[in-house]
Parts: sequence; structure tokens; C-alpha cells
Amino acid sequence: MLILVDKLVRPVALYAGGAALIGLSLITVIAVIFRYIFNSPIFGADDFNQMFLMATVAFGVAYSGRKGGQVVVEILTVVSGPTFIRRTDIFVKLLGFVMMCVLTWVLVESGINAAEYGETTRSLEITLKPFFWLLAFGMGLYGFVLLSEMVTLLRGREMDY
Amino acid sequence: MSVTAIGFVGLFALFALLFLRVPVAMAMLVVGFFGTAAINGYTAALSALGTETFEISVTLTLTVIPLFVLMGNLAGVSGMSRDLFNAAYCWVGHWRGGLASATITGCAGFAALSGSSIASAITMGRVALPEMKRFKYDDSLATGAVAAGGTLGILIPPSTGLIIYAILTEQSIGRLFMAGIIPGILLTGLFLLAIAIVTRIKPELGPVGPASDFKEKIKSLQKASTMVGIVLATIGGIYIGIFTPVEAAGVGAVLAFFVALYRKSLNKEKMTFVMLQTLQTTATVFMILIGAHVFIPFMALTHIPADMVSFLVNLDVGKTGIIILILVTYIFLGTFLEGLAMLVLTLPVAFEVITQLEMSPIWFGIVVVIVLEMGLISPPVGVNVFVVKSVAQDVPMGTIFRGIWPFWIAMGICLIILVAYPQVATFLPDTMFD
Repeated sequence: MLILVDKLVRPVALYAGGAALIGLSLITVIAVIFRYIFNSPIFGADDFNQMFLMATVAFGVAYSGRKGGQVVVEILTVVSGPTFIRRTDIFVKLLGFVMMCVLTWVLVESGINAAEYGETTRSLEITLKPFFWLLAFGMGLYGFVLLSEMVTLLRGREMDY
Repeated sequence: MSVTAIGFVGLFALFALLFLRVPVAMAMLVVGFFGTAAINGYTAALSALGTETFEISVTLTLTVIPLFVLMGNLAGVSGMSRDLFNAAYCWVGHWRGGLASATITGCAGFAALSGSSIASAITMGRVALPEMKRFKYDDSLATGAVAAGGTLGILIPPSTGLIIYAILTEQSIGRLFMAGIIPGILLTGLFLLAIAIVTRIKPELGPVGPASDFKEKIKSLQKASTMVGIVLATIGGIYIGIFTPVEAAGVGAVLAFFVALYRKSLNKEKMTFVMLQTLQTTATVFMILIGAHVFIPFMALTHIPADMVSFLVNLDVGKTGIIILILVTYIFLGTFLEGLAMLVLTLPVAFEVITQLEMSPIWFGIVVVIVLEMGLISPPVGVNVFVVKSVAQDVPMGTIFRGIWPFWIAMGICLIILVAYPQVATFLPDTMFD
């Protein structure tokens, strides 16, 4: 099951997240060039930066979780055995999955509200709805990763990162 | 139940979740969300959760994180770390313990390109450890030098530790970066001194290597000059005011990309590695910041941080006494808490105390980061020690921990100097902006 999850999460991070990261780097440098060399700041560069930054986070969060990138305090592994850790890990994954479901739902709802109340970016006045939904997608995908890992642990299989 | 009681239940729940290996970000999200719900109701808690997650993800100043991480990863795959090590080795390799000294110097140089202590330790460990093995260095000195040298990554700018401190305390990233330079050089010097003392007492730990002639030394410097150029463009650019930290990060990432391209060290596999590593680190840091921005307002609602601040400020031990108390607490927490978690959990109290004592928040940022560095190599859960163990799998953990003590003491001395002379940290930012 986790192999299938990896086949989904890795390309999302690599291609979508990678494109966002490249966009973020380029827009930052191009903005510098326009400001200092052409003495003409790019209108809306900050809006683009925000868009790319959010996409970088949204597309990277599930991959980070899947690769065990989230910071964990490793005391239990020092004082406890693998069976107990396996059980607590199931609880950890479940808790994370529930939290990500709540967060995804809140972000979807916030997106709908943003469209309803006309919330937009500062310069280009792009509606914030897709931004909220993009973030909701990232958090939802992370929730899916946690659910898959929990199922793997419940089936008694080894988890590899 | 009173809000203070809810706060204590929340703190207990947080530590219980952290103990159970719930990721730091997730633990803060869960406790912050349910704690806020318990005090202000679910509508307020849901609103805070959505708003904080969104706000953090579009905070422009945080653009420095993915861009500086990208720069560090590109520098890592482009072979600049090897050039740095070789240059350092040409100049100090003929000293007793010279390879260990070259490792520390290389780590300091790489730290100026990478804001991560783990990246610094892994990158320099892969280059330096085989060399030290070849020259029959004692395992404890070799691994200890890599683990300790790696910690310079979060002190010497650009530093993710300083960026997170800046975001959590609303301080200038540029000023904090500048403040990290002199203490970073000082700590590098103290590490070199520690190696010199250790190898003077036990020369067999770090045998003398072959000396390089002057031509080789100059050639090695030329090879390392690309890295120096990038550092001058980015950190120098911030210092003289040409770039904001975000702009410097973007310029640095693009320059590192062109250097890697020029050296033909980028292929599809390496580019994939760089992208995925950057995204992973970025997402990890952002999740912690999101968790912190849900958890900290909950703590503020409980009044616990405010009560602790007034208790600490009113202690009859003087300013220095309070600072020592805070630092000792940090050092203790660092033995079992991960650095970023420690920063997020303690800053609402510690920073407020520093502010009320009218001490420099920039100076405190540097002091805190050095204490975090000590935590990175402190037993039983020093992250950098685990990282070095992954590179040197045949070396027992006990041997690595034995090797870090001289460096740990050097960090302690650096802290004492900074507490006694805060100007060591504040001099550069003061000349930059005032």
C-alpha cells in the first residue's frame, strides 16, 4: 500500500513542488534584477511569491511526512521496546490523521468564505480561494499518508521511509 | 476548570504526546487546537487553526527558508564542501590534529552556505571521516569534530535556527544573521583550540599529516573561492544593505545553481535529490511554525507564560543570575528535547523575560542558538551524533559522545564570553543599522 502512496506523493512533491520552488527562486531574482538594474519593480511580484511559497509548502508537506521528515523527540525509542513503539505509532498516526482531516476541512471552508467575502491578494487582487484549497490539498494528502501508514502498522507490516 | 488549570493540562498533554513520538508540529497543533476550544469554544479554535495555517504559508519573510535551504543543498552536491575541506587541509593539515581542524574549518565554511546543522554534519562527514580514518585518527576525535563542526550550521548565517527565532520573536532576520558572524568565528576558533589541547595531551588521537607547499595552498584557495564569492554576495549583500534576506537567499540559490551547472555536477538524479530535500526541510520547518502559531496563542490565553515571566523577573538574583538560570534550563532541556521544539516551547517565557530585563533580543537569539547547538551533541538524544553515526556506522555511539566533550566545553566557554561581553554578538548588527 505504501508503495502506491509513494507513487502519488513523490511526483506531487517533485514536479508540482519543484516547479513552485523554481518559480519562487526565479521570481525573487527577477524582482531583484528589475528593481536594481532596470529601476522598475515588478508589479505583483509579492503576490506571485506568496503563491509559490504556499505551493512549495502544500506540495512538500505530505512528502516530508512520508519520509519521516517531521521532527520527533526520540526518548521512547531509548526506554522502550519495538512492540510498544509499534502500538504507540498507530495512535500517533491516527491522531495526526484526525488533525489533518480537521485542518483540511477548515481550509476548504475558509476558501469558500474567502470567495464569498471577496478576499484577494494585495496587488493583483487574485481571489484567495484557490490558495486555501491548495493548502487544503497538501494537508489532506498528508492526512492520507498518515492513514496509509496506520493501516500498514495495523496489518503488522514493516514501515520503511 | 480555570484557564490556568487548562493550561497545565495542555502542557502535560503536550509533553505526553512528545514522549509518545508525536511529531512536534502535530503535538502543538493538537494541544493548541483543543486547548483553545476548551477556553474559547470550537468556533474560535477552528478559526485560529485555519487562519494561522494560511498566514504562515504566505508570510513573505519566510521565503528565505526554502531559498537558503536550496542554496545549501546545491552547494552540497556541487562539490564545494570538498573544495572547502581540501583548502582547510592544505593550510592546517600539517598541524597535530590537522584533519580534525580542517573538518571544523570546512564545516564553518559550509555553514555559511547552509543553514542546517544536519546538512553540514552529513556533507562534511562524508568528505572528512574517510580521510581521518586513512590517517589513523582516533574515532572519538574524528566523529566528535564532525558532530560539533556541523552544529556551526545553525549559528553562522544563513541559519534556520535564527530565522525561526526571528519569526517567533518578530526580530530582524538580517540583524540576527549579522549577529551570528563574530560568535560563529569565535566558536570555530574555540573548537580549533579544543583540538589543539586534546592532541597536545594525547598526540596519538590526531597524528600529523603531510605538509602542503605554498603553490598547493594557493591553488586550494582558488578552488574554494567560488564558495567565498557566494557568501560575499549573499551575507555581504545583506550587510551593506543591497539585499533583503529574501533577495539574498534567491540570489544565493541561483548562484549556487549556476556554479553546480558550470562544474557539471548536476544530473537528473542529483537535481531530484536537491529538490526533494529542499521541499522536505521546508515543509518540516513550516509545519513546526504552523504548530507554534496555534499553540503559543493558546498558552497566552492560559496566562501561564505571563505568570512564569513575572516569577522569573522578580527573582532576587540579579540580571546575570536570571540569565544563568535560563541558560542552565535550556542546557538541561537540550539533553532530551529537539532544538526547534525547545525554541518554540520556551520562547514565550524566556523572550519576555529578556525583554522585561531590557536585554538585547538579538544577543539573546545568538545565545539561545549556541545552547541549541549544545543540545545537538548532548547525550542521550543529540541529533548530530545520530547523524554522524549514520555516516560512520562502525563507530559505537559511546565513542562519538566521548569525542564531543572537548567541543561541548568550548561551547560553554563561548557562552560565558557572550554573557560577559554581549557586544561580541551585537557589534556587527549595530554597525550595520545604527
